[in-house]
Amino acid sequence: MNWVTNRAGRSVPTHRGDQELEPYAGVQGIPPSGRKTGPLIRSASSFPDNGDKRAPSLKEALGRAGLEDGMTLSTHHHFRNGDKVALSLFQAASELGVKGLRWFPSAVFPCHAELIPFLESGVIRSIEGSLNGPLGELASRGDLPEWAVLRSHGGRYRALQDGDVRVDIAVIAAPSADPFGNMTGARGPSACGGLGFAVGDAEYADHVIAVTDHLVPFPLTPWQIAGGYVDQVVEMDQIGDPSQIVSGTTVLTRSPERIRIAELAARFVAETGVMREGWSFQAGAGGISLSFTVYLGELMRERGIRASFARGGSTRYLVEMLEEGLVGTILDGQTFDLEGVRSLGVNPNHVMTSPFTSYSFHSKGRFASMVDCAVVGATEVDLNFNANVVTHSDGKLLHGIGGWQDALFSKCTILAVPSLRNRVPIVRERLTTFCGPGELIDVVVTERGIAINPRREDLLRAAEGRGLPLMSLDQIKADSEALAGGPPEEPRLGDDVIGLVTWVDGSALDVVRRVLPPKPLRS
Amino acid sequence: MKTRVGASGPKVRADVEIEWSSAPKFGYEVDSTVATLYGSAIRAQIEEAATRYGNPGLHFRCLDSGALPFTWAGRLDAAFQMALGLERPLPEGPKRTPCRDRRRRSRLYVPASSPKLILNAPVSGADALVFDLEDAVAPEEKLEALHLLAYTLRDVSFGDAEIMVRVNAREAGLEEIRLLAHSGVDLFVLPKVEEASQVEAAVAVLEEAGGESLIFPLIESAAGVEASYAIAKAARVAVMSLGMEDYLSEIGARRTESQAESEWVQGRVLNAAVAAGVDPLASVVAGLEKEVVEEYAVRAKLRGWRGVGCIHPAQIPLIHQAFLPSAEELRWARRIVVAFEQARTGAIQAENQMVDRPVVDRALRILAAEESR
Repeated sequence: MNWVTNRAGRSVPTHRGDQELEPYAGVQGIPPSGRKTGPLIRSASSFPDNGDKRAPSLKEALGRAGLEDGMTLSTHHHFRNGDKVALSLFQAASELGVKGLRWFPSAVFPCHAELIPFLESGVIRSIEGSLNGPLGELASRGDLPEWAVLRSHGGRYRALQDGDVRVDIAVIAAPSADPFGNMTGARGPSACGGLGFAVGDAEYADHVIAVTDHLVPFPLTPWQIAGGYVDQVVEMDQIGDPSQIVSGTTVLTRSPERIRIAELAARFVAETGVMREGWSFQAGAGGISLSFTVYLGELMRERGIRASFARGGSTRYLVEMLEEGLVGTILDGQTFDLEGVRSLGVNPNHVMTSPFTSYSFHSKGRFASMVDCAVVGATEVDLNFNANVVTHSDGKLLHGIGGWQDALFSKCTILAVPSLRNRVPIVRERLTTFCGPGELIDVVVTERGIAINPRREDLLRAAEGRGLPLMSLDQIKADSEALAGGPPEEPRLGDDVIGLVTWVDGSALDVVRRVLPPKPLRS
Repeated sequence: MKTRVGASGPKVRADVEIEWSSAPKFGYEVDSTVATLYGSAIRAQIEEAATRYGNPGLHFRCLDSGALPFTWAGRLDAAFQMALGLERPLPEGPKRTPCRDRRRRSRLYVPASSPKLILNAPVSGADALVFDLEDAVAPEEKLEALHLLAYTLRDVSFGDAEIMVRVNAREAGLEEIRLLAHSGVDLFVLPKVEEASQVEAAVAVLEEAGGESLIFPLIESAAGVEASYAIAKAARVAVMSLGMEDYLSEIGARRTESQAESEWVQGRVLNAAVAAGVDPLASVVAGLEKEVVEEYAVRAKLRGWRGVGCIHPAQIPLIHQAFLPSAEELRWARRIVVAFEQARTGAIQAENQMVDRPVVDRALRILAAEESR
């Protein structure tokens, strides 16, 4: 394999199999050329005039779709750990005797460990997507035949649009659908809110199968994805476990450390004036992000400040702020609880977005760069504010990228992280895996204190004399290493590459290597 | 016969379980979540400890979930000493200057046996931390908790927080005080104090060991209430509090929302403390709900208590908010400080009261509380 050093100083391969890779060339991205890809042209005469595209079963539908060995199949992850469609899909494929399939999910969850037998039996040859949980462990051990290709949500949409990945059959779990294939995620027993992660698949896959447990008579209105993209519709008993799709109610973290980090991040935006009348913010639904959102609400109420829009991760807390008038509009990428689902279904100011509108880099602009402040996590940060989000410091694949790289483009990007995780300091000399450049990361907030990127003189000035616990990353590193008993040792990695981290423009940012078992720790 | 210390399991974080057995020579095996990243450090710590104990014939099986060095140190010492039936002096902590008069709006109870909860303490923002060896620790874990505590006090920084340790009752507690005399403890909290002689016994132990810590007796019984003034007057007593739960249980009363059942006893103990010149602190607020905590803290302040006990960091900002000085207190404080600065001769007359140093200090404290809002 040939290697080249990219603009982030990381060594990346020049090729992936036959395909040439572009090395990362900086935040501005490599200018694209050529045209968007497109699916096969179809004729209405091969579809029923009465618009009834129902097939009796998923297995039958796959047969009619011409499922063959080696094809690429895609699914979305709006059902998170309650997804049943991926399993049904590969069970059906297995029953059809098909092998060597490539699975292209928008993300993977622990429930997808159920697919491991299909990897073992050869029904699934490879998984192209971010890997974590049990599948991530398999990948880290070197047990998957092909590289895990890690892309952000925006990057996955771009890969579909640019033709980097061609999907033969997209199977879209639809909480509600009509026989023509108009579908929505906002209604039905398995309602999940939006279907944004399936938009690119609907647009670019050669064949689209909608799978629903709530078929309604035509016309389903309003639809989130139009039936004009859909080839077949299949009814199933249960496409997901509602209790795992969205939580009944989101519960705030009680962890004092997370609460403190959230509180400091909220104070930072308030005191520096990042939070001001008409501003916009983005936060997820994880422990720190959620608490941050709640603190924001309190501060905004106190100071009489309104946000023109917020990007979610929608939860009941964000919905409360919308209904109270503290937030003008929720642009929702993913809905996390029943309140979020309800609000999306009834409130015209709570709308579904997709990676196309919010994130895609090969586009005529996207929402992510318009957001005044985004709060994200990280697994590691180096002294130049570059950061890692996909592996632990021991090199094991831990998370997908999700919207992380895309969200970095906000005007003020805050990494909210504890200074130590399980003894391991988060701030270090060199990243285990490079996922995001320091040019885009403005502030690091830990429970010890706040570090502002020296590139942001404006934020440094705004933070002066505001009573915020400011520290340098060096200081946070030194303090946490003192507590940990020194800096961590190097991870034990093999030479073989098991994953590729791509940047939002599709360029090669870093590689992930096989993790060797630890040396026995004994006398 | 106990053959292990510490804890392990799927929900355990930042701790290590060490199980020992006899062996021809010293040996160990470690299963750790940070084997790759901190394996050498762990190895070095185990081998250094083994050397200190003369490389005895023991085999240690360790299950580690990211324990920090201070936790490893405490667990190793406990394991070696318990396995060998030894007692060695606990490590010395930082030199502290215990202070009678300081801000104690919130005192957070931290189980001395839990590294995870110990690590939450520095970010809690509490004025004081009470490391609890008594009710929070199961009897069979008290010895290992003592070892963990000594290394905690030596190695973990708690910023400006006052360091308190609640020891066990009676003889066991005196022994703990003797062992912790140089570990960096500002105040020893004595549970279930009923006679001044109990305080005197603790002070005698400190004097003999050359420790400078002050004493914080807890009044938790009817007999203790009767003797509360004498107890508060005893040497080295700087703070006093009422243990509400135990007391009400003894007299057969039940906690109600109006607190009518404890009006008298709160007044009695508060009065004894103030008359003796020690800091009166209210008992622990039961309940995590915002309204419950706020109301309790406000009521405590209005009665004259100078602070409140708590069991979760989330209660602390609410408590501090309740103890902010009122506008009237601020006005008084500013006048006192101005008058004192004008006179600067020591004892002056202002506001119809003798304004000596303690009064000025109190005024300055009130102004500082306002400033750090």
